[in-house]
Amino acid sequence: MIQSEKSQRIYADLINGRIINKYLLDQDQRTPNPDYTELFTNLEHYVELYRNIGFELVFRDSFFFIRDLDLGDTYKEVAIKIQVTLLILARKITEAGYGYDLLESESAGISVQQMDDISKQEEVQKLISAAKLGKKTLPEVVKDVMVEKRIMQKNSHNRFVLTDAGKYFFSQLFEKEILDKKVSEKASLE
Amino acid sequence: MFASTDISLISLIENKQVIYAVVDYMDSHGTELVNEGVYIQAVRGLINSKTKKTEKQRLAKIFDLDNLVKAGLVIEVDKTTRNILFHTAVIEVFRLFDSKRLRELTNADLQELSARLDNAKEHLLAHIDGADPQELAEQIEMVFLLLSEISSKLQTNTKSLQSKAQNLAETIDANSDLTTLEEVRQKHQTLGELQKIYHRNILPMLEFLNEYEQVKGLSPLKKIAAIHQIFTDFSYTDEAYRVQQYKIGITTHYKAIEEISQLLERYSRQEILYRQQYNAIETAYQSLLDSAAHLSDGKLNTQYFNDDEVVFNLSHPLYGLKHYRAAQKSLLNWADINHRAYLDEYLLNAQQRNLDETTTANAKALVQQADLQGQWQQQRHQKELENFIRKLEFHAPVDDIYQAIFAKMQTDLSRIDLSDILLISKKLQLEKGFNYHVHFQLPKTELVHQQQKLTYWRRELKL
Repeated sequence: MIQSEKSQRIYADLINGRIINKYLLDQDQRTPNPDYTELFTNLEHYVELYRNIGFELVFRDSFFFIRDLDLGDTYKEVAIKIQVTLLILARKITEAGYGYDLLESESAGISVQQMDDISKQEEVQKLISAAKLGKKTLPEVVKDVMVEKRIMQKNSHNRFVLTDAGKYFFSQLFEKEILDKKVSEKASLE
Repeated sequence: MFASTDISLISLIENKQVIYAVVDYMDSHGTELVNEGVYIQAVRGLINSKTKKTEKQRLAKIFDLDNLVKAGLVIEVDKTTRNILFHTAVIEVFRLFDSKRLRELTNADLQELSARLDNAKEHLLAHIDGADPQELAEQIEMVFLLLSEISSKLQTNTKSLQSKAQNLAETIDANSDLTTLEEVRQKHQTLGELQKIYHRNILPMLEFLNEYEQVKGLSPLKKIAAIHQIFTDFSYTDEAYRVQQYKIGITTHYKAIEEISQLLERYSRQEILYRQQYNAIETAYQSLLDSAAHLSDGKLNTQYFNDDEVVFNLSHPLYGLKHYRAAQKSLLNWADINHRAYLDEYLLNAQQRNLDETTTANAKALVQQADLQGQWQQQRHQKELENFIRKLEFHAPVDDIYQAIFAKMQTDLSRIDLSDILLISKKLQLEKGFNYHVHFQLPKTELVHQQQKLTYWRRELKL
């Protein structure tokens, strides 16, 4: 049964390019997102609904978003901004000695101070600019893009952690690494 | 003043933390010699924790190294190297107080036990004929003393390993946030300790307890079985039975050690996972840097990333994610039309599809399947539809626009989905300004294609 109030809220998010994640953060605990549940339980209906108004409802196991059916020239633009930011954050924290879990664990997260320090690096500024993010600092990018799009969220310690969508990006990256390694091992055996 | 051995030992036992610090130092440095500074620091900590002056003075005298030497609890204090050698018995007593500090058997210890089993077996065999009854009695006693020692050591060792592994695992699990570098360092140190236990203690134990493993000749369990056989062959049935009981007792440790091994392997895999994650991030980031480097090497006349670079395939799952549209209203502004009729039509179409709308699992599987079987196929279809719509031309009036679109689809499209007709007609309305009149007063019309059926009110394309 479609719930009108949720449906309107979901529409307001999706049409503005926000992601609907499977879980929300409540006191650093993952709690099921009612909007995700609404979409998931009435998936067929919503796929049809958005298709009829010119969008594809994209379902990625742990999150939803919509995209235009007629993919324009800039359809990779937001995804690339997100990828560049995620890779900067992950690389810089692992370089500093932390584990990737700093971004993943709901009660951990990266602080504004840490991001400010990373921002000062010339290499990082260059990457941000090349991703069409202008002259924004890393905390600004995280706030304006990553939190706005719901790739990251703030926890109770005022630190930023990955949402389901953010984690999905890295899970794909790590799977690729394992696969590439297996392929190269196989090739070396042959 | 000199405190007697019993009073000094009781004081050490009452204030265990001092000798615990000594034991920890010995274990972490793999030595029997303790740095004097470590001992003095532990004693100072103890004395500072006391409030009564008399108690402070009493402890200072008892824990004084000269006193402990006189009491026989410390064997030697090397004035040159500033190292202390405690009496082994004292250290062993304190290890017994805390299972985490029990000393585990190393590969060398286990090999020594195995060699002693060989000796015991050979001596027993030499005297089992009973030619010298007193010698035989001594050899039998030696065999059971050795079996008792092995059984006791394995039990203590298993208990110690269980306790230590559990303790380290809990330390890692409890400290999962890792928001400071110190926490990360501690976690890696703990993981390193677990690895050390795995290689130094667990693997040799598994080898020792595996009957089919060869440890310099026969496996220890096979040697015990051989002793059992000697007693059986010479009709020493009681002794044979006792040996068998020891063997069963020793075998039971195998399962416990295997469980610890599995626990440690889990953390070992965690270390491997960290490395894989680090490598994956590093590789992707380097590719990103390479892409950025091309922007300024003069070959490309742009300051932005080329979105066709292979590295950006990584963000494929998010392709198409929209920009923020500040002006977008949250509610749809429907045109002034017959809402009820449109809703009825939508519901009718939805009902008639062959998909089971009530089963969310099915719905999920369908969408996932579509996703997995090739996003590119869907994209190709969308592109084909776009081209189709762009080229599509109708000259009003057209009596049934759905029928007309369907006729064109049959000739121009490689794949026909009747629900695409709804999308195409909507796009024609939005992009080419087509004007429809819907005949709600007439009976509904049907379009059938393969297993699909579309039921609708006829739409007329008007001038």
